[in-house]
Amino acid sequence: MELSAFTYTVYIATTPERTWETLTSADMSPLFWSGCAIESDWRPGSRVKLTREGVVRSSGQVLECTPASRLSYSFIRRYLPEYESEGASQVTFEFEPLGAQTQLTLTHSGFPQDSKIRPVVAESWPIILSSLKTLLETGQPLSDIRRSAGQLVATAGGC
Amino acid sequence: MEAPQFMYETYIATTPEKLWEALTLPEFTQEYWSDARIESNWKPGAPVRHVRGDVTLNSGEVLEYDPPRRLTYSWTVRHLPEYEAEGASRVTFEIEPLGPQVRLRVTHEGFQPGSKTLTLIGGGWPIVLSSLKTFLETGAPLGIGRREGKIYTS
Repeated sequence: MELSAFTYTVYIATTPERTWETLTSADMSPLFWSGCAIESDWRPGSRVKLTREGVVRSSGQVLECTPASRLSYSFIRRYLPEYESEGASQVTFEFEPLGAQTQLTLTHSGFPQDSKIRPVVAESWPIILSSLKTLLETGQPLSDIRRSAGQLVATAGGC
Repeated sequence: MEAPQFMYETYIATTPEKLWEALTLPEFTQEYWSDARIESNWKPGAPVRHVRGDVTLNSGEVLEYDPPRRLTYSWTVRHLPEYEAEGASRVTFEIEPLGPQVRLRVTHEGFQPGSKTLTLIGGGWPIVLSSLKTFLETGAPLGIGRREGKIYTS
């Protein structure tokens, strides 16, 4: 028995192409992804890793990649043993043009019944995708929001 | 088994006070909420209506009004008979300041299993809240909205 998938849809005033480029860029991602860089060559089967300050936080493999349309990768959190032992879940992004906007739909699925990761990602994705939207629409991300001592806190600057 | 509900969080570069105005004043909601004005005097128990032109889209009453932190009202879909028959649900807005931005959490609950209204609002809220965020951060809303469950672009 699996827990339900986490899904989140956000509408962004830009093109699917620009959304795609920003979301998959090792240089841009730390701006909106709580300081994490996402790195991959985005070929099916290639490694995907999320690093912060040189430490690998999560990693997985590209499962599907159709630029500006659909991206799917497996996801294992690496930095805490209790998370790592849960094994891989799956992250899928779908990009749909709607007039001058993009509908970006995230589905994160494959959580075991007692998952400790699902609540973490359910809290994190809205922060990441809100900041991505702000960056694409205004040129500046939100100020970095992270969990500290059980509380969400925002830093004054970026990340 | 979890009770059927819809929950959505969005983080917005604005103040709790500005966000509160954007949620409660008709001249603001009509900018980003698919042309719908919200009408209420916001006293406990007072009627709340979403109105587009002379059509009442949804109506309910004020259950909690605690500016600029927490707002709850009941919600019955009025313009589509098959939804109206499902009766009232309720929506809660919670605003939390976080440095120079706010977290807005919208929880819409009180649905029967298999509710059509839940499917309708589950598609609608991300559009409304994405447009609200864009409106507060850039001064102009998104060029999308929804009527009778269908997305339109402008």
